[in-house]
This record gives sequence, C-alpha cells and structure tokens, in this order.
Amino acid sequence: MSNYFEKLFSEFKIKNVLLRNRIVFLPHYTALATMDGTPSEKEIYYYTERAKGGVGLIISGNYAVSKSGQMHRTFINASDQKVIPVFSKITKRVHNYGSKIFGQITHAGPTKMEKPQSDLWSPSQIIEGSSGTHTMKIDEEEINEVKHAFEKSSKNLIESGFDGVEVKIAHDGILRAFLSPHYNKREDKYGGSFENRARLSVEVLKLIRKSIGFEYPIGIRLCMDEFEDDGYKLEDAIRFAKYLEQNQLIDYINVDAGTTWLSYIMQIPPMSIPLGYSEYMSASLKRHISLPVIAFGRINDPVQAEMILQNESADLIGMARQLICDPETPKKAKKGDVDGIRKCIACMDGCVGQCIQFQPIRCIQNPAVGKEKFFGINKLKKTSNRKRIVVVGGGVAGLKFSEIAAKRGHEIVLYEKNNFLGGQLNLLKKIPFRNEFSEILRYLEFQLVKYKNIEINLGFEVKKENILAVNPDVIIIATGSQRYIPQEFQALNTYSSIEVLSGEWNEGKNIIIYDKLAKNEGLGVAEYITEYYDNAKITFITPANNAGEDINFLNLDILYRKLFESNFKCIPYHEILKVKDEKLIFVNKYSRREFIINKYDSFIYIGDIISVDNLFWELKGNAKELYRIGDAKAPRLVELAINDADNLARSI
Amino acid sequence: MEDIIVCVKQVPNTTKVKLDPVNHTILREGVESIINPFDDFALEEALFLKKKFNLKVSALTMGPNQALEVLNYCLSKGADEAYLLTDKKLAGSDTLATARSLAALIKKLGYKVIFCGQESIDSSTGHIGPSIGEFLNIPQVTHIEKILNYENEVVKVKEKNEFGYNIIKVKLPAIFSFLKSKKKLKRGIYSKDTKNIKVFSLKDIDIDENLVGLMGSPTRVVKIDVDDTIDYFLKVDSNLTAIERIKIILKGGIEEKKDRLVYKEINNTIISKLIQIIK
Repeated sequence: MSNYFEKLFSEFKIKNVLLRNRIVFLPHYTALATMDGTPSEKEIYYYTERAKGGVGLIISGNYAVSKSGQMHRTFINASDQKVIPVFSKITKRVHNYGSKIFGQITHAGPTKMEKPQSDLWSPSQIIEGSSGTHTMKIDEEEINEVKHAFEKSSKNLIESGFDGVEVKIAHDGILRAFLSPHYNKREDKYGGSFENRARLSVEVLKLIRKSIGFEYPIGIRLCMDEFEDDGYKLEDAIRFAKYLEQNQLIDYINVDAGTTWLSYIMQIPPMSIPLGYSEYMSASLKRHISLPVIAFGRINDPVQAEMILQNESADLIGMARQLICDPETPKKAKKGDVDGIRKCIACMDGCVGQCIQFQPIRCIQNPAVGKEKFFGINKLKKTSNRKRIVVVGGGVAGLKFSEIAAKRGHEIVLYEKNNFLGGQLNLLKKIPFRNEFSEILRYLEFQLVKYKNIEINLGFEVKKENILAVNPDVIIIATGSQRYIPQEFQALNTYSSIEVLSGEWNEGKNIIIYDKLAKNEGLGVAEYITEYYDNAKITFITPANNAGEDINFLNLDILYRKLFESNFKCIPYHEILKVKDEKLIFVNKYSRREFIINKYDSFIYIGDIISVDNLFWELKGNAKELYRIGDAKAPRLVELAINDADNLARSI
Repeated sequence: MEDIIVCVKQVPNTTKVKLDPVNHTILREGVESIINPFDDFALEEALFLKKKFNLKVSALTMGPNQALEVLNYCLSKGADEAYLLTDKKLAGSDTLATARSLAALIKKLGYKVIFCGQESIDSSTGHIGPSIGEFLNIPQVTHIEKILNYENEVVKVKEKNEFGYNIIKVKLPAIFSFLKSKKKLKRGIYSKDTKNIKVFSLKDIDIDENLVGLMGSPTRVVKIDVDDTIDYFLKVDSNLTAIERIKIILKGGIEEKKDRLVYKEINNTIISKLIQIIK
C-alpha cells in the first residue's frame, strides 16, 4: 500500500475481479482502428502503455455492437469475429502488466459522427439536434437485432479475455436514447412510462448475463444528467440505477453526463470547466445505491482523487485524458512523485480535437500518444555519443528539447533573453480559457531542475559570436516568434495581442478586434478583455464565417456563452482594407462593399506572426549541427513546438 | 408608536462550536458567548424606530447571571433599559416554559410591542416568538425582513415566504419575529457591568412554579445527531433549467455581483476556503 494515497492505492473488488488500485482508464474512441472497424496494432500498444503506467482497471471501448451501431467506420465493430485476435493480444498484455480490462459496447443509435449521416437508429423519429438529420424509428425486428448484437459482442469480448463487460447507457448510444424522454416518444412497450423506457436496457443486460454467465462483472456507463430541458435529470438517473440494482442486473456504475453533441461540454469538459465539477453526480448516486461507483470529470491529480474517495463520493476514480497525457500517473503517485506528474490541461486540441476528425488520437503534451510502440515508456534511449548542445530560447520548444536531450544524457546549455522561462506561455496563460497552459511550463521547469547536465542562463541574449566562441556540437535555435502589424494597418491606437496581454496598451471603452486567423488567439484576446476590463465594448471583425471559426467547437461553445453575455458583437466576412487618417476601412469579402469605422478607442490586429530566426540564418554554414524548432521554424501551435522538440531530441 | 421590548438570547458562537464525536453533544467549553444574531437584527430594527418615533427600547433576557453580558451589549448599542429574569427554579426550561415566563414578565411590565429574533442559532426552534404571542393572546408576525410603516396603531411589515414577500398590516399590541437581513449591524460591547440592569426573579412574576423550569418543560432531548453528510463539493440543483445548471458548473458555483462574490453551494469546498483566505 502506498504511504501517500491510502485509499487510492488500496485494492478493490468488482464482483470477483480484484483491482490493484482505484484508478480506472475510462473508455473512449481512439480512431486508431482500421477503416473497416478492426483494431490495429497501435491499439495494443496504446492500452499496454496505460497498464505499464500502473492503472488498476482499463475499460477499453466505445466498441460498436454492429455495423449499424458504428458512429463512424473507424469505430471497432465488436460483433465481428475478426476482432478477437487483436483483442486477445490487448487483454493478454494488459494482464501481464497487472491491470484488469473490461470492454465497453454500445450501439450508436441516433448519434453519428460522419457527415452526411447514414441511418440514425432511434426510438422515435425526431430531428437529431446537432446535425439536423431526421432519425429513423426502429421496429421490433430492429430492436431484436440490437439486442442480439449486444449479446454477440459481449461473447466476443469474453472470448478475447476481457474481465468484464460494460454497457454504454451514456452520453450517446441507443440505450440512453430509449431511456430519454427527449428521444423516446414511442407508444409501444418500449416507450412512455419509466419501466417501458428502461425496458430495452433491461432486456439487453439480461441477455448479456445469460450469454456470458454469472462469473463476469457487467457494468454500465450511465449518463446522470442529459442537460436537456425535456431530457432526464439526476433524479431519473438515480431511479434507473436503483431499478437495475434491485433487479440484480449490474455490478457497478461508471458515471457520466451530457450528451453527444448537444451538451458535449458536460461530457468531455474543456479547460474552462472546473476540475472535478461532477463529483456531486457520483456522490448523489453513491448515497442511493450500494454498487461500486466510478467518478469522472476533470480528475487529473492524485490528491484530488484521494479526496473524492475520502469524501465517499465514489469507490473508483475514472480518468481518461489524464492517463493519455501521462500514462505513468498511477506509478508516480504511488511513489509520491506528485510534481512529476504531467497533468492534462483539457485543451481539447489533441485527443478530442483529432478524434472528431477521425484522425488517430494525439496529445499536445505527450507526443507518444498513438505511437507508444516507438516513443512509449522506457523507449527513450541513453545516447552513446554525448554531445554539448547550446539551446537558444527558453520557450516551450527550447524547454521540451532540453528535457528530452538531458534525459538522454546530452550536456545542455540553455540561454533565455528574458529573466524567466516559458516565452509566450506566460501570456497564453492569461487568457481565461487557456489558463491551464501554465501547467506545461510548470512541468517542464520541474523536469529541468532534476537534471545536472542542464545549465540555464537567464537574461542573456545570445549573439553569433558568443555561440561560435563556445563551439558546441549542436546548436538549437528556439527563439520563437513575434507579432507583426503591416504598415498599412497601423494607427495610433493599434495593438497586437502580445501588447494587450502584457498590459502595454491604452484600453478604451470601444474596442475593435480584427482577427485574420480565426484561431484561439483572436477570441482569446476578446475573452481576456471581457474578463478583466469592465464596460469594454468589443466589435469583432473577421474574414471567417464566424468568430473563432477554427477553434475546437467545445471551446467555442464556452467562449460564445461567455462573450455573448457581455458586450460583444461579431461582424463576419469582412477583411481589413486599410487604416487611413485613424479610420478603419473594412470590405465585405464577397460583395467588396466597404464600411468605415470612425470612432473607436483601440484597434487590436490579430494576424501576421513572424519567426525570430536571424540567428539561424547567420549561423547557417558556420555550425557543425544547426537546427530550429518551434515558432522559430514557423509560428504554430504549442503542440507542434513540443513535437518538433521531442522528435529532434530523440534523434540527436 | 409604543415603546418596544426586545427579547434577546445569549448563545455560544456556533461557528466555533465543535461536536463531541462520541456523545454527539455540543462542546461549549472555551467558546465565547454572543448575542443571537437574529435578535441583534430585531434590536437594530427597534433602535431604528426609536430614532424615528422617539420611543423607548428595552432589552429582556432570561438566563443565569452571566446573561447580563448580552443585556449590556444591547445597552451599549442604544437600548434604554435592560431586564434580566433569573432564578434557579427557571433552570432547565424548554421553549414552552421560557415563553410562559417571558410572557408573564412582559405582561407585568406592560409592553404592547414585542420584538424577537426568528430563531436562535444554537437550537433553531423558532418557538419563542409565537409562544409568547399565544400566552399574551396577541397577534404574531414571523419571518419579518423589515418594518415598512406605522400609522394609527397599525404596523405594516414585509414578511418573507418561500416565493417572495407578503406585506402584512397588524394592529397593536403584537409580537414580531425578525429574520437576519443584509443590513450592516452596529457593533455593541459585551461587559459584566450590573448597574443598569433590572433583575427579576420568579417571585416577581405571577406564575405557578410547577409550570416553569424543568418541572414545566415537557420537551426532552432524546439525542443530538451529527450531520455527517456535509458535502465538500459543488452541488447543482436539478430544478434549474439545463442552461442554468451548466452556467453554475461553468462558474464553479461562484457568481460575481457588482462588488461581491456570491457562493452557491460550495461552502465547504477547498475553493471557497481559499477565496476566504485570499480575501
């Protein structure tokens, strides 16, 4: 037992499956499968990595029970016999590393990810809220087909060596749709009363029990609140849970909330949602039933996890993104190395952001995700050729490079012209919906102080001569980027995002933001202003179709909720033409009709960024090995700076 | 308006009280005594009316000698007179016996306007006001947030209910129970001074001693239970609309209102404690 987290590292039994600790890797879609819905080799390494990291239970999943139940063709179809060989490898390796593994099965029902959507199997014909597609009301034969698909898939899971089966009655899927008064308007025995709406779930659970026998645990992932006014709420979910418990149909409940896609932010909460926001859901459930309950919802810290257990709000702690970001969270926590844990910041750019585009899962902080075979735990090789490396720039790219290169045994000298590390992260973290980016900096700084082979020089601006005098084996240029406002758009009160975020501007009441990029930066600055400057009136002008068009829609949802509550107005489809006599002249992208803004207090221009790379070009040809990473290569996202650095540091 | 008598109670500062985890009784040792905050609001309202109508305000309490501290507090805030009803035979009185005794003294003193707090923070029964009203056979108004008006022996009050307010008119004599309000209270001084306190004992009031004290108290406390279901996390009311529920979650239960932060259902969380430290 760990001395540090008494309850978190105590054993727990679900039916007869003994777990080594209370941490559960929650089921999610990884987009690692092949196009015909069979799991790939990557999937094996993905789950093995989490088992290596020390997790107690893995619930792998979001497996479809039939072709009609796939949300997209890259969702694994568990009813197909050909999944068994790969599944067997996953379960065997996970068991080898001491974790247990359950498989989660579902039928997508009225929620699909492809566009345009194919048949949406649904209890009633309604307009599916997120896509505007009309659903198909399924008949008795189709209901039977669904039931038998669950039965068949559960058999396949057990045959593949899974320790238990989880049935999804959660944020999406046909079973919750039947349970939900929002979707289910049927008048037969599957609709109407509570018992009727619960009937399909009950029949499915009974059938699975019959097919896999009594020794294996069967659990459900249960949506506790649909966050729909005509949907079901906490009390209804508890009633349903009690009903299943009384009829002895299940062995545990894995808590969940929200629906895909209408209240997606409650299902996969972004950074703006407080850590552990949903503890009340598992706590309320636990007070009404005696079955084991798994908590969920932005839990990324062992202290927080232990507190939830001590509060008796849950029996087990569910983590998905935290274990994607740092698979070794359980191991590190057990040793008491809490600061060494790299925490998920819920940025939504890597994991969710990729998967909704059917791209293999990634993580902005952990470049190994989806590539565990090559970059996973213990894959970092010590170098046999120790090099002296100068890193210019202590932003995210420079820091990440130093971390990995130092771990490999190279000798690093890092120069940073400011008196602090972190570069643009220091400004990024001021934007409310991006504030946890400070964690990236905290983690990297903590790593750097651990290694004696890193020397950090702050407040030192490196010149070509300085470097050549040292004559290092490798030079890394990680000098970042700067904002650039073209001459024709400069007025007296024109500012860049950097000036605004560092407080070097004269704010006024009437603020014009022109956002050429439609990415996080523009709306982020708008959010920052509404948060910290009272009475600011923002007119947000962009050539895109809407404000922040390129922002992940989950973050956008929250940004819009906040911005439209304040004094914020967006004018899309407009480009800036010029600034003349302190007047801003915009033009409609399509009609080329101009409009002029005469009166404003400040104008914020979000657009051009240029790499600070003079040193690179000066040294080109004069150095033994010269590389540029991060924004010095090209201004891009944090994720790509980390990727550049990680890839390079592994190859040097 | 007629002169006002305010019934006050000395209570332990319950924010500092701990419960014995074994016996489930209140551990009062070393805990300071204060005026019951509800009574303080009643007194504040009486003193406000004193200025307006130029009347006399008196404070009354029943208890051991130590209770004169709270009477001095009332005097220091501006009360004109203070009465202490104390007698060994009154010890162990429940709310029925207490109200009976207080009513008898009030009748003897001849007050027509009686103010008291809605309830006390150490027992929270809310019995005293209405019981005195019954013993004196006069009208009672409870859950009062403020006195709105007084004209021709008729008092107009704002009574809070679950949904909003009732505006009630009541003819004097009557008894009024006050809620705590947002009003900022003037601070008084607690002292053990005895010289301005008028002390009464059981023989001064016309009452059968079998009807007061332990003898006259039918209430028995069977058991005090510790509520161990304190929640250390944000709670969200299911009766709100979906959008409101999401909004509360988004703001972490904290709402900004002009110059202050309002906490919703996060009183025991680490966040709320941190905010209090930072403030």
